[in-house]
Amino acid sequence: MTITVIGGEPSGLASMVADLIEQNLARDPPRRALLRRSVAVLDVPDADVTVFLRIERDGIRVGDGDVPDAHLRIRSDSGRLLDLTTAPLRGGLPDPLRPEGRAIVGDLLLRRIRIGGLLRHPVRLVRLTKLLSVADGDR
Amino acid sequence: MPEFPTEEWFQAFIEAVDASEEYAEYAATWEGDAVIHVEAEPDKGIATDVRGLLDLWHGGCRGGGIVDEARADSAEFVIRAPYSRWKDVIRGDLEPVKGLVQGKLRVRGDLPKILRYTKGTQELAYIAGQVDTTFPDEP
Repeated sequence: MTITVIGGEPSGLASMVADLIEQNLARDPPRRALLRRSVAVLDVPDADVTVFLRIERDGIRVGDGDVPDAHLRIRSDSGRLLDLTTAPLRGGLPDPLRPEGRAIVGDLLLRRIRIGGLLRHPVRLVRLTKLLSVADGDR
Repeated sequence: MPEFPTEEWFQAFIEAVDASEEYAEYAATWEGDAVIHVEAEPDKGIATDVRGLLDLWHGGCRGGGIVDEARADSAEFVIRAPYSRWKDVIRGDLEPVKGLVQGKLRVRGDLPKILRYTKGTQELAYIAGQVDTTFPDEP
């Protein structure tokens, strides 16, 4: 399994996403089961950064820019995007029974965080969320 | 008034961090030393790289100061940027989380741990801005 950052000078977000997933998988190898074909785009307008992830069973490629075939498109400011990784999860989604999870749900309802593909690809979203999560466990 | 990034400045910063009630709250369970690596910019008065260590522990800062490369390399976390970027952070012109996403600040260390303490990181930047500071490239 390999995680590759594409491009000579990747953005901070591209490097962080690759490092984060690599460290999460090293610490918690069963998460490798989450590697199923999926394409996601993370769009962070306040930092003027857009990153894509191509996830396959045998590895992940991360790079800067948009791609047309994304199943999931997450748009948020930098702070909230990182909050997504720390929110406690329940069933792979932010836990509405805990304050940090409720804050994320509120941001979704107020469209401060937008997730394109949420309804069409919920399983892919859960897998991506679990891959990126640094929260303790999933209830 | 201490000049950034001198030993005098780091001692003033360390004292301010240790006195901060907000930082104590956000980083109450944090354990680990961190290095602020200031990359040289000779044309701005910084002839060589400077590495300032912060011995951060349970919401306080037990000490630190300018260290050599070998000691900095052994720190749990290193956040690195050119002098001008750090100046932007101290002045509040660059929010650290956005800087990390953009790659203007680069971090080495346990990324999941850093992400769990982003409020603490932001508070450190705020505290740095509260230290009365002069800069070598300004009269």
